[in-house]
Amino acid sequence: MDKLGYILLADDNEDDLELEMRALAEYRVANEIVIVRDGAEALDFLYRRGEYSNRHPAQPLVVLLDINMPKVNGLEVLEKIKNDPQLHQIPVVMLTSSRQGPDVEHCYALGANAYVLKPVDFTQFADAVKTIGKFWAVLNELPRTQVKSAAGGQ
Amino acid sequence: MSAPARILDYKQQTAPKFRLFSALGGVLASAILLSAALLLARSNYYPQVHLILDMGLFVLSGVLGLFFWNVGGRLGQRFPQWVATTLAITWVLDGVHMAITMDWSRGIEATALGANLPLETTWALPTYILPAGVGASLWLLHRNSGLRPVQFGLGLVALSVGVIAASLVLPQYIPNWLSITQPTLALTPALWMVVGVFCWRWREAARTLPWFALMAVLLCLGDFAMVFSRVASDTASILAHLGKFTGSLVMLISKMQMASTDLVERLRTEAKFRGLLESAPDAIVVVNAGGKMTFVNSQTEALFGYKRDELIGRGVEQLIPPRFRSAHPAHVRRFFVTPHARPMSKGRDLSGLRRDGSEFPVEISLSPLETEEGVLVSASIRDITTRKQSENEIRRLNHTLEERAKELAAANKELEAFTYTAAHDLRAPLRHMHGYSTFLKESWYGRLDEEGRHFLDRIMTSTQGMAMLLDDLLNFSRLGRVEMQKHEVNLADLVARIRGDLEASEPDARRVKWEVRKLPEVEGDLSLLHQVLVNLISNAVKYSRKVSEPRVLIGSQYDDDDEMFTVFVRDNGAGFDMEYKNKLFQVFQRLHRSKDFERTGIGLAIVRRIVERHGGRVWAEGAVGQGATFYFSLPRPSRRQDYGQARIHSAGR
Repeated sequence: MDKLGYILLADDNEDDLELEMRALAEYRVANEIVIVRDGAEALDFLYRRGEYSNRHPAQPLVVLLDINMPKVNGLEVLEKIKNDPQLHQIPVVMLTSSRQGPDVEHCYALGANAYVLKPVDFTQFADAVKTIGKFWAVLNELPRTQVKSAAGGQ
Repeated sequence: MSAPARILDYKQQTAPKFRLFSALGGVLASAILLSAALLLARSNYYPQVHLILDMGLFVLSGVLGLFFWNVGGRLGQRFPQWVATTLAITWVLDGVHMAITMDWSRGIEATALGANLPLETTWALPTYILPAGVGASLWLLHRNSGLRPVQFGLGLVALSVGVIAASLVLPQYIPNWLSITQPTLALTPALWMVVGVFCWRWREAARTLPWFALMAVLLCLGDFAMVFSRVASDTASILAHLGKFTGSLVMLISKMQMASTDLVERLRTEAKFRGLLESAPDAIVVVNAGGKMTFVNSQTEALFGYKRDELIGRGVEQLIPPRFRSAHPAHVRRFFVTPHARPMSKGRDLSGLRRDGSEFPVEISLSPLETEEGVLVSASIRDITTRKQSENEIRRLNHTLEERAKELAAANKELEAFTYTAAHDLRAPLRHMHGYSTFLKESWYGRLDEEGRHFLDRIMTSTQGMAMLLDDLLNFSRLGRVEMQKHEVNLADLVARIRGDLEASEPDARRVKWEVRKLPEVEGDLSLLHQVLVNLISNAVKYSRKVSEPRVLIGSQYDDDDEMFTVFVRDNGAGFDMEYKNKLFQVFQRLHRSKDFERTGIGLAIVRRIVERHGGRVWAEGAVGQGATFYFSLPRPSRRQDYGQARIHSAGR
């Protein structure tokens, strides 16, 4: 784990993942990106359970959560994170395909830090991903304790 | 809970007015006539006359006693009962006196006025008891006492026994002039005088009291005459008996007159009451405590199909379907325990039974009637067949409506789920297609030949078109569901903003020669009205871009008749054939090939839906190649000051 900290990306859609990774790579976001495929896996990762029980104790700089995921959806993961005193300081950015539904209000009510629409137009999509990466992983100042843990507990 | 209605209320009836002078005149005339007759008669018939008068008095006081007792019992009043008790005691004593003093062959004279104390007592005692009893009754009436007649009677009897005992045991200690056995009965006229005065003073307490006063005067005179009597049947004694007889007669006549007046009143009241019952819109059945019908009105005959004679005196169960009959007498009994007005069997369906055996739903309300025959119950019965039918119909319709609403809600829910899925899951592949195409274009564009590049471009355009279509569709479907946030919206500001946005993003818009006239303030949802104007204005720009000098005119007018603002957007562009004007505002209806003007075919449908939700309508005019004008109307804001502005605006045009 390098000193820059890493981004946790939870998305079940391989195509979206590939596009998101490319967009981040294109901006040359230097931070490591950890990918999980659904909400359950995201929670396992954050709580260091199951296959992640031996992972490095540092928590991510930011969590990017797709809302529509199998097993445990993004909203449920968000709720878990924000209701856990150990995790609630981690910024969470919700990613969604559409404005449809009650999701925006719901996300903010649960304590999401940002809510980002995935545009169909890839150029816009890439811009959005880049901006998220740049803002949360590079510009955003985190509380000291979290910087420590995010930086590997040193 | 209402008090039982009294059919007859004696207190409220107009009693025959007591006319003092005519009463006195009558009494005087009869007394003079009788005295003249007596004086003309020979004095040797006096004993017989005495006997006749005594017997007459005996009969009179008996009848009077019965009369008072009857009236008192019926009205539940104590005063007549006390008087009746007094009369009963004097009647018994008079009877005993007559029985033991009479000698049929010679009249009363032979045995009267011996030294026999009991005989004298039976004669003198009632003379005292009568004014004393009447006076006591009067006093008790004045005190509003509830003393029972038995107690009252016992009191009088005790008094009499005491007086008799005293006269037997202590005659030597009683001064001669006080002795009740003395014919000089100075005390009784005085007693009657006092009673008469108080009867007159308290005459408001009961309507018989003036008559009592008159009676007291006559008895006073009679007893006073007795003072001058020296032998059993002398003139003074006869006059005294005559006075007493006239007094009692006056009382009886007054009572009879009252009774007849009351009877007439009662009949009149009953007739009135029957008339009322008869004219009531509902069927009314009056039932006694035994469950028998004592009255039915003509509506009852009509409703149940029976003649009156077939119902009166019969059990009310005759009108009730057999399955309810067994329980009914118990209901009747329960009602009579605590009779008060109430609807019958609240919450339970009641049925009536016609003569032909058919049943019909009824509503019944009960109220007690206090009558001469005791408490009766009047049942007012209403046929509610029609109401029941309407209720059932309403219930059925409501049920259907509820079902429909449920179905609709379910359909709505499904639709919502569908749009949610469509919004998310249909967009994802589009995003991927566009994403990969972009990568392809960035990294491999140079390696494709012209045809390959064309295909790639078409893929990207189509993807975007599809995304637009999807957004419009979702937007359109959402319009019917989102709640409107109504505010005051200044259309002039809104148009200026939209025009600025368009000019910033579309080169075509900058070529347009704009003319924006005065626009009103309306009440509506800002973002929805924004959509309307964006659609109409961008359409105007879009369809006029092929014209050398594109012009767009935006304006409004106010119609006083239907109090609506009409806003229009006019262009000099491609226009349309009026033949298809009805298709303009329908979903997916396009009048132009997409090659000429790209659009999804939903914009105007959105416009229509929004305007209709605001209570307005949309329409269009145009001709091919000569431009088009799109109109939409909106109701004026409900507040008065806005109306004023609208008038100024309208006048300014």
